[in-house]
Amino acid sequence: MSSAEILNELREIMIDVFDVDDLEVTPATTAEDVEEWDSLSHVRLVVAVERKFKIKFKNSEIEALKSVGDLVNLIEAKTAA
Amino acid sequence: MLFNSYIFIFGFLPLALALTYLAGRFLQPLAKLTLTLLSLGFYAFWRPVHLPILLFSIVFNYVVGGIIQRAYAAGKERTVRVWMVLGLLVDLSMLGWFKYANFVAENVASLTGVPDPLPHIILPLAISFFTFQKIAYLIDSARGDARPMSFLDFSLFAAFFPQLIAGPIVHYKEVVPQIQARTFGRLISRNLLVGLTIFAIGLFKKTVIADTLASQANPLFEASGAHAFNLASGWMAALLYTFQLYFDFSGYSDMAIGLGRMFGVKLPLNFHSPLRAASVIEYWRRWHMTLQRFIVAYIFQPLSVPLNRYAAEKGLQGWGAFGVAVAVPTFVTFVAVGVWHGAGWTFVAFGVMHAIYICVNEAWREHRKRVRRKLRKQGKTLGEPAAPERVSYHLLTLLGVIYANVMFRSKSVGDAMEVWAGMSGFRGLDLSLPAALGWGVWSALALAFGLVFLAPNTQQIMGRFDPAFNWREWKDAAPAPIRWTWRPDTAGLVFAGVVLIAGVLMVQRGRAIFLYFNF
Repeated sequence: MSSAEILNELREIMIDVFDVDDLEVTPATTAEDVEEWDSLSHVRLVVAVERKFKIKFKNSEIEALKSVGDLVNLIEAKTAA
Repeated sequence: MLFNSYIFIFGFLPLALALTYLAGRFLQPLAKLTLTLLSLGFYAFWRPVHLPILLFSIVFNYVVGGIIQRAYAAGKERTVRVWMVLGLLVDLSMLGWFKYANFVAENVASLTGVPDPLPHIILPLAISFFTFQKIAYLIDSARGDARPMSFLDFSLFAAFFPQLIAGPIVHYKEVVPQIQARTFGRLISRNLLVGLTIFAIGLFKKTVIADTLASQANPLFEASGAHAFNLASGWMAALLYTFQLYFDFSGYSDMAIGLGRMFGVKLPLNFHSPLRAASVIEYWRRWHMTLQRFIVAYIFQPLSVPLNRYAAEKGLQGWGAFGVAVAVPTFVTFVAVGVWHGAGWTFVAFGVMHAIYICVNEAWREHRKRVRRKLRKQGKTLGEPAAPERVSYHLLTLLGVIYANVMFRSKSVGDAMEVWAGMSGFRGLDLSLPAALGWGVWSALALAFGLVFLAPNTQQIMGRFDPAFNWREWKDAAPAPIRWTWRPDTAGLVFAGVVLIAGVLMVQRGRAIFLYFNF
């Protein structure tokens, strides 16, 4: 899956998890840009991504995520393996 | 040594600045050594017998951190894990012994009837703070976020006196690059001026506001048992203490951030107008922020991720999913936050109360989510809450925080219940206040109210000068109704001077200890 496709999938998941009507997502988007994105919803997002892409993250990886781009890269690396 | 004492303001601080910057003119390592030794002296001034505990913590964690970093670099995952667990065990055992041994022994003794064998253990100053800093350092090392450094750099990172006693709790990647930068140890007048102004604001918050509120709140709480709280005195006590706690600890944190800046180091924020939050979840993102992120990263998240996975795998829905994925990790996390402040049932109760608040908050968000989904199917959208609803969110958050702070302050759960009974009207609707409370209490409350709800916070005032390590993340959050930013012009210098002088003058009313020195 290309990173553009991953980003698109991710946007769908984020709209569902954060429960917003629409969301503009770029690789540079961070938690500060999305009001609903806090530590509670972050965990839900991560678990939703894990299930969708059938991968698993480590605690240190989850914590190191700073932007949507980081998440896309991590998903790309994990699904390629 | 207290930041709000003459010996610190007129003795230690000028001396430390002069010696560090003088040494820095010759050799950067000499500046680091000077500042490290001064910081250790600063700690020992309080109670010299506890200095060895701090020194042990520094040496032990430097050695273990180094082993972990080298193992990480060599890709030896097992070694990393073994040493990290060992390091954490030693750090936590030390904290556990000094902080919780008496509490556990007392409770065991009262349950079993066997006499308590332990003598009274004196809590070493700052142990909760410097232990948490070390734990974060070991975990950062195990994750490859901390690199090997000299023992001198590590000692300065660990002992740096502005943050040593009561935080902010800092990470390697925040502070170490700053003390390893080439400019460290060089006098930059802008840092000195900006740092001094931030320090002055913090000192003002502590000595002018918090100590005034304390002088009114303390007699009320200490007399509990001696007199019955009524509606007015219950609320007065709760409000005074809530504002005292905020101005005391946020004032302390400002002073720490200002002092760090005077030495050219930007520390992370600890408060961002938490009492203006519209939900309790938001409140905790802005109250004691460096403790909160520690707890979220190392307790909440490691607990919550597997529980969320479990809930998703089992296909749990509704309250079942909520209980497993939200309630369990929230309760564990907030009980930990509570007892971090001290060994006592009041702190456990405080944690449980906030856990309940967070769960209610989260359930309410879920409810709004469902409503929004339903509306969306009908092609409608759920509008933003109108002004009265938003105001009610703010009030409800404050109400919860104030009730919980009564528990936080009281000597026992029973005492707290007495205050609550008064506040809640169970002792009648008597509105008389103890005669000892003069007109001063109203002006102090009015000033506190005005500053909390209308005025910009310290970092917003200093916003033009990148006042803290993570200022950029917060610069657009929670704008105040009154907007004013400091500049080094006439008005700015007059402001800094007036605030500093008022803060210094009020020091002599009695050098009151900071509330967070007890934790």
